[in-house]
Amino acid sequence: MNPPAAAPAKASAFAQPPTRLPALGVVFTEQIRTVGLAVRREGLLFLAAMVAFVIAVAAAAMVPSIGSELIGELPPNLNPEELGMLAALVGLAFPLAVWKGERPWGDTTLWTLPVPHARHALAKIAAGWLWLIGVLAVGMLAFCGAALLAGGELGIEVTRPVLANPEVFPSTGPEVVSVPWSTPGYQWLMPFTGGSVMYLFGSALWVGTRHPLRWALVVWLTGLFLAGFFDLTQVEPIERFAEDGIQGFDTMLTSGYETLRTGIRRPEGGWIIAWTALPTLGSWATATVFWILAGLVAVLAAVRRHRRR
Amino acid sequence: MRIRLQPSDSRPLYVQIMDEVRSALVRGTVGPDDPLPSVRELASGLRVNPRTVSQAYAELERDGVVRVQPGRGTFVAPGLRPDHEARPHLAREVARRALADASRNGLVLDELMAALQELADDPEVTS
Amino acid sequence: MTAPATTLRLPTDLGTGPHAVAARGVVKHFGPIAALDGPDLQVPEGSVYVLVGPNGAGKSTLLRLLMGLLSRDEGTLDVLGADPHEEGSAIRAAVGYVPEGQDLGYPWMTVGRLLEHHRAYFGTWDAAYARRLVHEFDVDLARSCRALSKGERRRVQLILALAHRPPLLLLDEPTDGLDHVVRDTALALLSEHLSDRPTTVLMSTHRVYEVERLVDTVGVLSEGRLLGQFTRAAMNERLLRYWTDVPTEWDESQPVDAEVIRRTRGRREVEWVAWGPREEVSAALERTGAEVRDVTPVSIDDAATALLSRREVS
Repeated sequence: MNPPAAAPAKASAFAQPPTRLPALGVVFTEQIRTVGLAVRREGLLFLAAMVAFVIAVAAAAMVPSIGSELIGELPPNLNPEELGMLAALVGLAFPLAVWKGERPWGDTTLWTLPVPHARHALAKIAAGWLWLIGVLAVGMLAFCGAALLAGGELGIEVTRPVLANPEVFPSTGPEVVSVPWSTPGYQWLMPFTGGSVMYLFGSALWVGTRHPLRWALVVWLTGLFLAGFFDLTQVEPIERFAEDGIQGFDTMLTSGYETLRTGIRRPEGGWIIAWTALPTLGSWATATVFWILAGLVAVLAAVRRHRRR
Repeated sequence: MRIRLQPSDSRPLYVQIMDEVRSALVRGTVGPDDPLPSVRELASGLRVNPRTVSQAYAELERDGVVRVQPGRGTFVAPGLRPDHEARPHLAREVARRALADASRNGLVLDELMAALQELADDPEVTS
Repeated sequence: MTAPATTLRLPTDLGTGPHAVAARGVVKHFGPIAALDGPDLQVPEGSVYVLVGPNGAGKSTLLRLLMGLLSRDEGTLDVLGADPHEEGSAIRAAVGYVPEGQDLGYPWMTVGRLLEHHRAYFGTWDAAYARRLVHEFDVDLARSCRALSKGERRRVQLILALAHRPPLLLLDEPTDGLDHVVRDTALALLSEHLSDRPTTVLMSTHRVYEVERLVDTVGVLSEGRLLGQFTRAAMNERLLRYWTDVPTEWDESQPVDAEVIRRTRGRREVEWVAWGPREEVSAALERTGAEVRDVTPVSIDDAATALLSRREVS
């Protein structure tokens, strides 16, 4: 049976207009523009700083007497392993710029617009990420330019001292072999992937917590405490877990530049820096995929908190 | 036709609008078959709810003063004789307000009438 | 001024609708404080409903709940046939919202860019109408939002709320910060909007006199509860001020068989604001020995003041 036609109908004049929600593409484009405007001033300052940096390096390279003062004895070759930490810091701080003017836990413009809150937050985070990649690319270009102008090369070609049998080190004393090393292609992606992972965590913190800075401090202090605690326990599995965790994180950011190297005392006296193992594409890719997934989970958990507020 | 509303007036807004239309008829500002301002125009001009104006026009139509032609607007009823309809009505309303005012001030009808007569005889007041 | 100690019963039911907004038993806590304590708000379709109440009565909280900016702890909400909890985005697409405060969100944007931003989000944006609003409100599109005064920001907010021609306007203190001329413009534009489109307006204000001519329905909110809600027609008929003469020895503690909202005593006269059929209230007052000399209507502003001050006294 059909329902009776005389069912109370709303006054026609007030019948709902077909709801016209903005398409996701429109929202995304609009957020790219909005974030771009939000970070415009800082972005231009950054660009100017980078240009000034390159010009300074170029000028210094042209006048060797000053150049050696400024650049010193460092080989001016650019090693992307050394940029990982810097990119991580940029990525972690970038959400502050992306969310400028918005208070995710207040009545912010973003929430008053006709888009589901979680989806809208994701669109903004994605838009911000595009700008982050842009900023990192400018930074990389500047470093590359500076290295080339100073007479250096992109990437390094060296021999690295590697421990022959790190499993038994240091009980039987170090035995070091020299292994030739040149910068592999994937390492040029590291600043971008590392910066992105940190951006995801920064965004999750900013969007998902009412007091992001407080929580950042809590996370940091907890990490320090746990690391120290695990170190003290001397319980093998826990210690291993902590070490592997830190190592995995470092592998993602720098492909192991910080954790794979160790200082060893040579039998004949003095110290050298040797590698327990050289970075590999496989370990970097595994760590990166893991941390990107972890970052995405954190972001999804954070935006879900705005679904029902 | 100009319509004014008095903020201090205790009559409901739609009644004030009705009386203003009648007053315009009595003064000859509008005549039979003349168009009245649209609801939208009048409401926005007076900063009132359009429903208030619609209500005033509807009541005036019920009293036979105007004719609402859907889609065209509101017109003074054809053949309306202001002296027959509007004038006595308006006079009654003015009197009603005067009486209420007198009563509020503790005056009785005779006192009010006497004062009215006295004022009306005073050439300075009536001029 | 004294207030009778009996509890007051004012109508809170506006019938079965259709209502553009309906709230039933809505409770919202902020920590231990109940900002809303179960009001049954009913905003009939096509009405201009004003929500009056002191600061902290819960007006803004209610509007934010309706927009889906907050979630309630208890109760049900219906905005244009949808639950803001479930379909907040669809509701926001059909609502023109002026928020509490004059924060435009993005201080680094120009007004023109901010309008473009909103235009992208609202499929129903009426560009010609937006241009007209910009002209009427005398807003400079090239200026940065940061540089705008409080009143100018309010004007921009009104443009943003109206330009997409929403069937429902939720206005939180819409005239706040506007000078006389701009307020007058805003009221004229609002009136036009009501003529042009089937529109329901729900606004909160504690300056009712500024919008009184537009309003046809009133709700009085205090401490998260609705003290009463009624149409202006019902108010004109039943919410009246009675001027009475009383003997000097008149006993003011005696009970009165009427919903008396406020009583102000002079030596030989008492002014009452009461709810009810005029004859019944008059008769009840006469039974106490008071002689009704005059009965006058009460403005919404006066009515709200009487209701709210009574609340504070009792």
